[in-house]
Amino acid sequence: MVSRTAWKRLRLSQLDPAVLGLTLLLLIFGLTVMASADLAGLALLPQLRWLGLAALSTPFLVWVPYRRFLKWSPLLWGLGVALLLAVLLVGTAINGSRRWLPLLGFGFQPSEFAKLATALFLAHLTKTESAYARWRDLLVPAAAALIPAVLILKEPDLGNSLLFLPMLAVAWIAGGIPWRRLGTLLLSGMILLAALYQFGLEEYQRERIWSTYRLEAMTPAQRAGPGYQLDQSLLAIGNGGFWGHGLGDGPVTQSGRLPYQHNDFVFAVLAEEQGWLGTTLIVALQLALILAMLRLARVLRDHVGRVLILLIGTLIGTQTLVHLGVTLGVLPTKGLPLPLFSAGGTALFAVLSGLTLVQNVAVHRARFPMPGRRWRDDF
Amino acid sequence: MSHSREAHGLATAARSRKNARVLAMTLAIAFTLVVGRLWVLTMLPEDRVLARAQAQLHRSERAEGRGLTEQPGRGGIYDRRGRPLAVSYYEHDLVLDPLSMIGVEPDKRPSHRSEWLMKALQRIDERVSKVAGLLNDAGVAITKERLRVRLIWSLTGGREGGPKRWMRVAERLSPMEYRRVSEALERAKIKGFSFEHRIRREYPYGALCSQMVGVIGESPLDAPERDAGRAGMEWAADRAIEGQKGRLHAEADRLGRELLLDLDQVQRTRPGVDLTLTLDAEVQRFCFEALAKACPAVGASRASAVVLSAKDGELLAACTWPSADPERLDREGEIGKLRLGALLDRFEPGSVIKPVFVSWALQHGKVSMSSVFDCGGPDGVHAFGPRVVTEYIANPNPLTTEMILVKSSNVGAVRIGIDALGLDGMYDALQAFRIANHPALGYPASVRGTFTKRRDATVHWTGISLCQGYEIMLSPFGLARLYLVLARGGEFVEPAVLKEIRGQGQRETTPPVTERGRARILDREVADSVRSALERAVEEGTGKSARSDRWSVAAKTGTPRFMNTALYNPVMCAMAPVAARSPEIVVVVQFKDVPNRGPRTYTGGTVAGPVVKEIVERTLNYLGIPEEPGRESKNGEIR
Repeated sequence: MVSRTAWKRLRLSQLDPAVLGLTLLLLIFGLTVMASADLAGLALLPQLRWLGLAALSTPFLVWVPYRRFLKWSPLLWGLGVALLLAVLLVGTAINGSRRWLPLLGFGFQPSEFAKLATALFLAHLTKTESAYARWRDLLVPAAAALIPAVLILKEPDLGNSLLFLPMLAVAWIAGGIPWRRLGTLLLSGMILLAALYQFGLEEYQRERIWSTYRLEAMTPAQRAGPGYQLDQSLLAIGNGGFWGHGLGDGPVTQSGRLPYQHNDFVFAVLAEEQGWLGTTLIVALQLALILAMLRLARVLRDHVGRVLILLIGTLIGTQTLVHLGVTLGVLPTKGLPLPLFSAGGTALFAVLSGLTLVQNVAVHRARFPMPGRRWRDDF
Repeated sequence: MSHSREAHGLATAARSRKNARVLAMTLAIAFTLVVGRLWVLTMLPEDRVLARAQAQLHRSERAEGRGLTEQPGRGGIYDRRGRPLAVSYYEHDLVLDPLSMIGVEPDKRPSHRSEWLMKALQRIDERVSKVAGLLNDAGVAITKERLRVRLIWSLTGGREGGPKRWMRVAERLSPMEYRRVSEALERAKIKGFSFEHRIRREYPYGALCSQMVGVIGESPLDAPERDAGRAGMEWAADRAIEGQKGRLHAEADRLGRELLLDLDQVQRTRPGVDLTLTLDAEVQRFCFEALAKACPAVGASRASAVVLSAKDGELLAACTWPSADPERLDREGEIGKLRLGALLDRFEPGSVIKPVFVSWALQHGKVSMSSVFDCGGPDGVHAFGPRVVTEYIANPNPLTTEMILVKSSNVGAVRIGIDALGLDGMYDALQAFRIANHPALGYPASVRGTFTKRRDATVHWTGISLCQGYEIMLSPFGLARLYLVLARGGEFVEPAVLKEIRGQGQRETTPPVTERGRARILDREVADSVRSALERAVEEGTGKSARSDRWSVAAKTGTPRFMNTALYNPVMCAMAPVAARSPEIVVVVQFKDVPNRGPRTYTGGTVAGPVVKEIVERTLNYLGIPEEPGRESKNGEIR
C-alpha cells in the first residue's frame, strides 16, 4: 500500500508537537477522571481496550497520506451510512435508543465512525476556495452531512446528529459560500427548528427542554423527575468550590446519585473533585488543543488538508462545548461524551483517529505544492 | 499563466486563514463563557446548594473507610435508568458531657453544693461565649444564651437531682458539618464533646415507589442499633443491601484487655450492595397518577396497576393506590398502605379469564375461531343443568368463538368450557398457564393463584364458575403473567423485578429470558388469533373505552362481583401495540369494591378502560414507540 520511497520520505519530525503533547496530556487526565467517575469499575477496562486498538491503528493512520483517505472518503462515507442503517435494523437497544452494533465482543457505535467519515467526505468535496459559489453546489455537501444526521436522529441520538450542522457550515464557509447566502440558510434553518419545536415535539419533550431553564422553580418531585440529572450535576459543580474535594472524594458524584456520570456528566465529576481551578485548567487545555489544530491549519499550504483539520477541530470543539453546556445547565440535557474524558470506547477511538489524521496532514504537508498548482499523486 | 494561478492560490489561502482565525475566536469566546459560568456555579453557590450537596454524601463516607469494624453503609436501590429509589447517608448528632466541658467534677456533699454550683456557673460564663462562637463558625446554629440556659439546667436536671452527663447540642449534622465541627473542636482542644453517628435512609420518590421499594425500621428481634428492611425489596434483599459489620479476632489477657493477635484475621466491614430494579420510576408515576385520579371518582377503596415489558418479561411498574409516604409512617393507617396489592391481593378475575380457556380449546383443536355457539337467544339466559347463566347484554343470534371474546359472552364461554374442554380440560389449561405456581419474582410474599379443585367438583358447579372467572383467585400481577403469554405469541417467561446487583467490583445481572422458565404453551398462530379477537374487543366490543387513537390495543374486560354484595372488582388486561408488530407492554388495572351507582357505572370497560388507555399511551410515548399510522380517531380523522 505504501511504497518504500514513501516510507523514506516520511518525516516524523513534522509531527505537530503542540497537538501531540496536548492530546497525550488530556488523555491521561481524561482516563484518571473517568476512573474516578466509574463507581462500578466496569468502564475502565473496555476504555483501555479501545485505547489499545487506537494505538495499534495509529501507524496506518499516520503513514497512509491523507490524500488517499480523502480519495477513499466517498467509500468510507457510504460504509458509515450503511452501518447507521444496520444499527437501525439490528442494533442493540439500550435505554430506548438503538445505537450499538456488536463487534468482536465490543459494543461499536457507528455514529462515531460516521462523524469522522463525513468530515473526510466534506473535506474531499471542498476541493477549492470557490467550490460552493453557486446554489446548486451546496446540495451535495448538504446531503453528505444531513443523511447520516437524520439516520442518527432516528436512533434516536439528537446530540450526535446536531454535530453535523456546524461541520456543514464550516465546510460551506471554507468552500467560499457567500456570506449573505449563508445567512439566508441559517435563518431558514432557525425557522425550521422553531416550527419543529412547536409542532413536532410532544408536550413532555418541550417540558424536558424547558426544565433546563426552570430548575429553580421546580418542586422536589419535579427535581426527582425530568430535572434530576441536571439538578445533581449543578449540585456537584457548586459543591466543588475553588480547590475541589480531591480525586475520588466528590460527595455528590461518589455517592452514585448522578446517573451516567462516567460518560454524559463526566465534567460534573471533574468540577466537584478538582474545583474551579482544575476544571479551568482542563477547559484551557481543551481550547489550546483546538487552537493548536487551527494554527496548524493556518500554516498549511494545501487547501483540502486545511479543510480537513478545520472540520475535525469543529467536530471536537463543538462536542466539547455541547457537553460543557449541558453539564453547566446552559443547554438542554442531551447525552454527549466529552472528548478524551468520557467513558465510551468508540467515541475515544474516533476522537483519537481524528487527531491522528490531523498529525497525518502535518507529516505529509511538505509533499504538497503551493496552492493553485496541480497536485500529483506519486505514491 | 502559472504565475496568476499561484497568485490566486495565495489570495484564497489568505481568505482561508482568515476563516480559521474567525473560527478560533468564536471558540475562544465560547470557552471563556464556559469558564465564566463555571465561576458563577463554583464560587458563588447558594448556601442551600452546598447544604444539599453535603447531605447527599453517603458512599464516600461509608463505614469501609472509617474504621475496621464500623456499621456498614446500606446499599442503594435504583430503578432501571439509574434513578435513586432508596439511598443512605450518614447523619451525626453532637453530644456533650457538660461537666467535662466546664472542668468541674460534682461535689456531692450537701454543705458544699451551693459553693460548687457557684463555681460551675462561673466556669459556664467563662466558656460559653467561646464554645458558642466556635460552634457557630463551624455551622451549628445555637445561640450563646440558649447554650448557657441548657448548661445551667443540665447541672441540676439529671437523675436524683444531680448533674446530667449527656446533652444533645445539635442533631442531624451532615458529613461536611460533622467534619468541620470535629476539626474545630479538636483545634480548640475543648473537652466533653462527642458524636453519635447513624445512617439515614432517604426515599426520593416517596409514596410513588414505597410499596415496591419498602422501608427500613427498628426491630426488637435485631440488635438495637440495626435498622432492617421491613417491607418490599428492602426486606427481600435486606442481608445483601445491609452489608456485613467487620470483626476483630482478638484474645483477652488475664486482666480482660483485648489483644489483637493477627491483623490478617481482621474481617473488614463490607458495605452493602446496590440493587437495580427493572422498575421504571416514570412508568410507575404514570400508573400512580392515573389510579389516584380514577379511584376516588368511581368510589373504589383501592386500585392496582401492573405494567410488564412484553419483550423480556421485566416488571416496569406495580403500584396500588393509596400508597404510604415513608416519611410519614407514624400517621394512623399509613403502614397498611405499604401493602402492594398488585402483587399481594388476590381476587376472582371474572371475564378476563375467558381468553385462557378459549386459547386452550383452540390449541387442542376443540373449537376454531369460526365455530358457532348459541348464546342464550333473545332472553340472554341459558340453563346448564341445575344452573342458569345470564348474559349482561343478550345476544339473539349465535356467536362465533371470536365474537364470544369480543362481546364477553358468559353463555358462550361456558359452552366452550364445559362442552369443548370439560372440567379436566379446564384444569389442564389452568395448570399449563402456571396459575398455581409461585411467581419467582423476587418480591417478598408475592402470592400465587389458586382455583377450586376438589374430588367432588362437578362440571355444572365448579366448571361453570371457572368458565366465568369465579372459584379462581389471582393477583393483578398473576393476570399480567397470563396475558404475557398471549403477548409473547404463546411463550411463557417468568417475570423479573431484580435487574442487577452491584457490589465491590462485582456485578450480577438478571438471567436472560431463556433461563427464566421459558416454555411454549400455545402455538404462535393460536396466540395471534386470540390477540386479534381481543383487539376487536377494543375496537367494537366491551373494551371500547381503552381504544387509543395512536396505538392499537388488545384488551379484555372483567366485572367480577364480590361475593353477594353490590360491590364489584372491575378489571382490564391489555396488550399494546398489537397491529403489525409484537406487543411492547402488558398492562393490568384492577379496582376493588366499586359500588353500583347505576347501569354500566361499575364495569371493567367503564372503570378500568380509561385508566388503561392513559397508562398505555403515556408509557408507549415515554418508551419512544412510534405511533401507528392510519389509526382513525373518534371523530373520524385518519392519523
